Amino acid sequence: MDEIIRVEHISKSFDNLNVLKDISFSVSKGEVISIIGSSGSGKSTLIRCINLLETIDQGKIYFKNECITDKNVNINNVRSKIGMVFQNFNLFLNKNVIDNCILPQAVVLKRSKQVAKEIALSYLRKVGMEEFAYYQVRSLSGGQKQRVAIARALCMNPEVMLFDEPTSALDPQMVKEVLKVIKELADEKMTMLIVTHEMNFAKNVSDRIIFLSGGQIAEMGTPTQIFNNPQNEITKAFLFQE
Amino acid sequence: MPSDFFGAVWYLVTNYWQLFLYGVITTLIISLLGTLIGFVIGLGLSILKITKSRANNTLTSKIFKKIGNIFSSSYIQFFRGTPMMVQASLIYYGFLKLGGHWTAFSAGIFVVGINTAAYIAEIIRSGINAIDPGQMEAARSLGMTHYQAMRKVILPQAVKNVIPAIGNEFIVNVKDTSVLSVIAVTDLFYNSKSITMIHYVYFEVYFITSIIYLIITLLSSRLLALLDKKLAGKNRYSIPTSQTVPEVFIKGGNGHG
Ligand SMILES: Nc1ncnc2c1ncn2[C@@H]1O[C@H](COP(=O)(O)OP(=O)(O)O)[C@@H](O)[C@H]1O
Ligand SMILES: [Mg+2]
Repeated sequence: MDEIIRVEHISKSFDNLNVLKDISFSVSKGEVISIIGSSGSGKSTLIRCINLLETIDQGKIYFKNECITDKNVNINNVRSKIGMVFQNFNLFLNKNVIDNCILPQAVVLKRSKQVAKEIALSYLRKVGMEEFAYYQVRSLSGGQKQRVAIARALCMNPEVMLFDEPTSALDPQMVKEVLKVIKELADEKMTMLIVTHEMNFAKNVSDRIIFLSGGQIAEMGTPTQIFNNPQNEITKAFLFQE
Repeated sequence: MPSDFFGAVWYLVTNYWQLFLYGVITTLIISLLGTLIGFVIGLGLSILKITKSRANNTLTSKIFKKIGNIFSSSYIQFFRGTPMMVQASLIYYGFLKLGGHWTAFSAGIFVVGINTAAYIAEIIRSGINAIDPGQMEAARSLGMTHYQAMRKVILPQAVKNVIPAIGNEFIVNVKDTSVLSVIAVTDLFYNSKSITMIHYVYFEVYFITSIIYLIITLLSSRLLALLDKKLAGKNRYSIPTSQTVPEVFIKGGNGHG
């Protein structure tokens, strides 16, 4: 299978706190990987490193065989191909829904307003938010905001999508609507790395699960392996406390 | 000139209303233009001040950023650390000494502008710092450069949030313009002073002057409060700029507060 991301022996510290310790794994095209682990285990830091929002101290990250942690790589070019969805949505508060989707296309991909708008509307339709295209962001519910954030990322035609606890800030009934959208993306073979606490969702949607503990990959494998037959004592402890 | 207080006030108002009016107009023009100039320069200063060097910057860009930091910090320090009356004298006579020609009026606008810039720079800087860092991260994660994110996402929000504070600077300027009488700018205070010289009445004239300043500042605060309310208004939607979305979408919806 085509490898799209390869993480090689990366380490990352904040001051004296060693947050990621020698992490290696690779992601194939079309693969869905869920990253689970307790709070503070380094999940966010890991996917932020892949999007180059954090700089790593050691190791290398490859995106389609290009080493993106090299000094002279075009960071903005890489980022435009790796979509990121945040726990707190981070929609641009000075823009309405559709302009949130148009702005990055116009600024980064230099698409014309007309083309960008059509693409924006098509992805808003995909996430069920087309009718809210001209709403102000602050008038939306959390679930609606997150669906817009997903649409905004998709407008850039990313080859990989990263999700950092996309449903953790949502009320239970809104979690469903967002997970449904992510599930659809998985069905369309979008390559995704999803940090989540939704264990059932992770089980259903993922090809592989990475269990992080204390900044290390404690266990990695198929959902069946991890959830039904965990080998590591820490994994067992984590899963049974859930 | 009547000898009773209200008679004298009435006499002064009816006979010298034009001088008062010209003073008011001068004061308003200087305050308004000074605030606008202050905003433009202050925006630049605030950006110079918050621009930080990053590990992957080239040496030249690091040096330029450092120079920018030092320049804006010194600028702000100087203009906030000296009285505007002294700044006005220094700059007005300094420019004349260098062989320049300018009227007290244009000097006044210039001085108020560059003075206000120092205050507005700090206002905008704190406005930028108050923006959720997630806004910048989201913009960067989509591939926007730091500059693009600043220009299209951060600054519009920061400026909008500090508009009330900038309006407040305008009100401060209405009052502080009075110190420009030191370089003979014919503002409201200077003209009032001229009127006192005609009949040698002081209290009555400055009573009128105070009332006029009070009216201007009160009216300005009210206008500002209205603007503030409008900016904070919870519009559920913006006006569509095209016809692609039918009216029903604009009226409908189940937005949560
Ligand atoms: N910018 C930062 N500065 C300092 N410490 C940080 C920073 N970001 C994260 N950390 C620390 O790194 C550890 C891992 O954080 P994070 O990756 O957010 O964990 P998770 O997403 O699994 O909860 C935590 O102890 C957190 O406090
Ligand atoms: Mg996290």
